[in-house]
Amino acid sequence: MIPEIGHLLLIGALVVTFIGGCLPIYEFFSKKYYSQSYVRPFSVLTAFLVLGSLICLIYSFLVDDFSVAYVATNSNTLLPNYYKFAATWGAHEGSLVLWVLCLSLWLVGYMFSKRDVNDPFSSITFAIMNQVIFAFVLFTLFTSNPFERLLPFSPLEGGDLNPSLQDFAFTIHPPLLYLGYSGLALPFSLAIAAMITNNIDSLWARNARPWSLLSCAFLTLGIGLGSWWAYYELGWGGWWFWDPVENAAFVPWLISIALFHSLIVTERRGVFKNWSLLLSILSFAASLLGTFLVRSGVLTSVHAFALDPERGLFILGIFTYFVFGALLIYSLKNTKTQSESTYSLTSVEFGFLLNNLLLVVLAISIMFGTIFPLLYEAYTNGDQVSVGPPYFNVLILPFAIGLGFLQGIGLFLGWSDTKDFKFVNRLVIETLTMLIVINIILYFLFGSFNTGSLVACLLFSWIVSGNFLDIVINKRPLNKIKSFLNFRLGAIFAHLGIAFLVLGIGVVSSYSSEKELLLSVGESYDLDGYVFEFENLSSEKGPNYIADVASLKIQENAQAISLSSEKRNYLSANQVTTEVGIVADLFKDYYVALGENIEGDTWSFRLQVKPFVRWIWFGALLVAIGTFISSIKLLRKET
Amino acid sequence: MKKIIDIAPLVVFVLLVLALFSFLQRDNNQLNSVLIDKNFPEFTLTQLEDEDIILSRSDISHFPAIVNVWATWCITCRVEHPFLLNLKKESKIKIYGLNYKDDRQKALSLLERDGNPFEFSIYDKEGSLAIDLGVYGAPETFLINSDGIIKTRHVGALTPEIWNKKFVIHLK
Amino acid sequence: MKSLFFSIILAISQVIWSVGIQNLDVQKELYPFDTVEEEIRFNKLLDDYRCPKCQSSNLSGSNSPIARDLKIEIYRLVKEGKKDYEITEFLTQRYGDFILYKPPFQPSTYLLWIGPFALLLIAILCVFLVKRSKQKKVSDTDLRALKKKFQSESENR
Repeated sequence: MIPEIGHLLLIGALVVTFIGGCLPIYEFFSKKYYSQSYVRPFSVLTAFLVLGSLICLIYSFLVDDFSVAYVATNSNTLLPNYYKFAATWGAHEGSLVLWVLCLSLWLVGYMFSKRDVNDPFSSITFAIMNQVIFAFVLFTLFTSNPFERLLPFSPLEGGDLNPSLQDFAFTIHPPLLYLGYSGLALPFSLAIAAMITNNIDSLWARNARPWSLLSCAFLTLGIGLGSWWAYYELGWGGWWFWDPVENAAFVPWLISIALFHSLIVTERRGVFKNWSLLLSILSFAASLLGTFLVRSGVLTSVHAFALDPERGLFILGIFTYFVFGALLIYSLKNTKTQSESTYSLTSVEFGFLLNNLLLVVLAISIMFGTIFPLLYEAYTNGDQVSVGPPYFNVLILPFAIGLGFLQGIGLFLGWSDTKDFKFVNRLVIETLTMLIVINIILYFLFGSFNTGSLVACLLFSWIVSGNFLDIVINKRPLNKIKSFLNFRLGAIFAHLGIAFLVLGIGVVSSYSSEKELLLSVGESYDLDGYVFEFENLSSEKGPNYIADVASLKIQENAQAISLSSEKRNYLSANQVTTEVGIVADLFKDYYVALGENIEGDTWSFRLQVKPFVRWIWFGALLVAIGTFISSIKLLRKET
Repeated sequence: MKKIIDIAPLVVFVLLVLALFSFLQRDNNQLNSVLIDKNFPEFTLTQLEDEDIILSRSDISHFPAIVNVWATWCITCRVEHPFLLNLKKESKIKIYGLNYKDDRQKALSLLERDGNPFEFSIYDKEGSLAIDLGVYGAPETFLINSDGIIKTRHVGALTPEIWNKKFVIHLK
Repeated sequence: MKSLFFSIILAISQVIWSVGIQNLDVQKELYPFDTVEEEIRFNKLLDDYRCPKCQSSNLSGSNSPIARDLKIEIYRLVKEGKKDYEITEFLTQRYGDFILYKPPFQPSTYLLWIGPFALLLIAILCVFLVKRSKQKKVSDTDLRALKKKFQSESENR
C-alpha cells in the first residue's frame, strides 16, 4: 500500500510541475495573468509531494518490504536501521527521488527568500525550475521507478547494501552532493528568466550570486566528503583518483566558482553579462553532463550506477533540451544592453576575466580528458587508451599556479584600474618569509626538500599573505581591519581553505612513507623512524559480518599509539572488505591496512604514514564555510 | 566576431551531444586484445594431464584452433563448458586449454567429471603465459586461424551468438 | 599555539631518534629492494599502470589477482634492472595502451596533451582581440566626435 502511495505522490508531483512549468511561460507571452500568487503554494506542494514519496520509500526499507524490487536489491534484514534509511539513496532509482527532492527544496528556498515573487522574472524562474523537476520526475517514473513491485512472489530476504557503502560518510555524501548539483539549476533558471524578460542587469546578478555560492558550498562538502570516504574506506590511502565520477562533480564545482566570481563583476560594474549568463548555463550543463556520465554506463568507474543505455538516452534528452534551449535563447538575446565600461590590464575586472578563463578552460579540459578514451576508441576504430592521474595531475598544475597567483593579489586590485602597487613589495616579502619558515619546519619534520612541496608551500604562503597576513600586519587602524575582514569574511575563509588544501596536497604527495610487508604476531617493523608492532590478532562479530582484527602498536618516542585494522566478511553478500586503521594528529596520519593471512599467524600489511593529509579536508571545510558565509550574508541583505 | 562568440557554444554543444549519443551505441565492454594479427607467444610449460610432458608453441599445431583460458575457481567457465563440448563435437576446430593459476588435481578431476573438450591443457600455474597473452581473467578464448595468426579474443563465456558474431568470420 | 609548538618539538626529536635506527627488516618486506631509488621507481610505476580487470584502479590500489601478478612481474623487471620505458613496452605489448594511465604522446593524442594549453592561449588571444576592437571602436567614436566638432566650429566662423 505504502509503495503505491509513494508512486502516486510522484505522479502528483509530475502533474503539478507540468502546470508550473507551462503556466508562467504562457502567461508571460500572452500577457494574460491568471493569478500571480500561485508560485509559492505550488512550490511548497511540489516539495511535500516529493518528500512524501521519499518517506514512503524510506518506510519500505525500514519495514523490510522486499516486495518492492528496489528494497529487495539494496537491503537486508540484518542491515542496521541506520543503513536501511540511507540505502534509500544507495542506488540509481532511489537516488533520483533524492535528487528531485533537492530541486524542490531549492525552489521553495528561492520562492521564500524574496519579499515579492509576483514579477515576471520570478515567475519565469519558477517555470524553468518546474520544468527541470518535471523532467527528472518523468525520468524516474518512466525508466527508474523505485516503487516497482516483485509480486506475487516477493523474496524473503534482500540482496544487501554494498558493504563499502555501509558507512556514515556515505549516508550524508549523496544528499550534500545532490544539493550541490541540483542547486545549480537555480542560477540556470534565473539566467533564462533574465534573458527572456530582458532583465540582464545588476539586479539579476545580485539575485543569482547567493544561490551559486550555496550550490558551490554543498558541492565542496560533497566532494570533500567523498574524498575523505575514499581515503579511509578503499584501503590504499589515496584521496583523489580523477575517476570519471569524481570529475563529474569537480567540473561543475570549478564552473560554479567562475560563476559567482563573474556575477560579482556583473553586479558591481554591469559588465561580464555574457560571461555570467554563459557560466550560469554551463554550470548546470556540467551538472547534467555529470549525471549523464555517471548513470548511462558509458564510462566504467568504481562508483557508477547500474549501466543502462536506455536511461542514458533519456538523460541525454533532458541534457539536450535544457542546454540547447538555453544556448539558443542565449544566442538570440538582446545584446544592446551591453555597457561600454572599460578596464585596464591591471584592474580587478581583468583579474576576474583571467580567473574565468583559467577555471573554464580547466573544467573543459578535465571533461575532455574524461571522455577522451571513448572519443579515441571511436576515432581509431578500436584502439583503447586510458587517461588517469598522471595526465590530470600534469594538467592541473599550471592552472592551479595561475589561479593561486590571482587569489593572492585579487583583494588588492582596483575597479577599472589599480593605481597603487605598493602591495606587491609587501606581499613578496611576506610570502618569502612564510615560505622560509614553513620549509624549515618541513625540513625538520622530514629531513629533505622536495620541489613539489616547495611549489605548494609557495602557493600557500602567497595566498595566505594576500588574504590574511597582509591585512593583519599592515599598519591600519584596528576598526578598519575589522570592517575589511567582515566585508570579505567569506572570501577570506574560502581562499585560506584553498591555501590549506594546496599545502596538504603538496606535503602528502612529497613526504608520505609506505611499505607492504609480512608480519607475524609479535613482530615489528621500522618505517622511516616509526616502529609498528603487530601485537595481536582476534576475531569479532558484527551485526552482519565476522571480522579478523589485527591490533598494532606504534612507538612514537615516548608515546605508544594503538590502532587496529580488520578484514570483514559480510555474510549475506559474501564480500570481504578491509577496515583501515587510522590514527591522526595535527601533522600526520598513521594508516594501516590489513592484507591476507599468508600462513599461520603471518599476515600481509600495508603500512603508511601520511603527513598533512588532513589539511586537505580541513581546507575543503574552510572553503565550504567561506562560501556559506558569503551566501548567507547576501541572502540576509535582501533586496 | 561577436556573432561567432554567441553561436559557438551552440555549435560545440551539438557536436558534444552527437558524440555522447554515439557513445551510447557502443557495446564493447572488454579490453581489446593487442595480440590480434600476431603469432601465439612462445612458452615452456608442462601439460596438465602429464607433468612430464613439456609443451611449447609448436605443440599448438592444428589450425584453425581456439585456446580457452579456464580454471576450477572460475564459475563462468562452468557455464561455458557445455558449449565447448558441443563445439568439439560439431566442428573441426581444435580446442586447446590453458589452465590458469589452478590446482592440477582439482583441474583433472573437473575434466573427468564434466568432460574434456581440450586436445590438451597447458598448465600455467603462475600465469606467465596468461600475462604474455594479455589475459586478465577467466574465461577468455583466443581464435587462431588457419595461418596460425591470432584473429580474435573474447572475454567472458562463449555462447552461440558470440561464436557466430566474433569467431566464425575468421574461419573462412 | 602550545600544542603546535609541542608537536613541532616532538617531530624534531622523532627525526633525531629515527636517524639512529637502521633498517634491518628487509626480509619482512613484500617487495624488498636494494636501493631506495629502485623502490621509489617501483611504487611510481605501480601508480601509473592501470589494473586491466578492475573498472577503475591502478595496480597499487588493487587486490585483484591479475594486479598482484602484474605487480610481481614488474617487481621482477625492476630488480633485473629494466628501465621504465622497457617495462612500459613489456606491458603495452601484452595489454595495449589501455594499461597506461598516462596516455602516450603521439599524433593521435596530441589533441589531449596540447589541447588545453592551446585552448587557453586561443582564449587569451580572443580576449585581447575583443579588447582591441572595443578600444578601436571607442577611439573611432572619439575621432568622429572630434571631426564633428571641427566641422561645426569651421561652419560657425
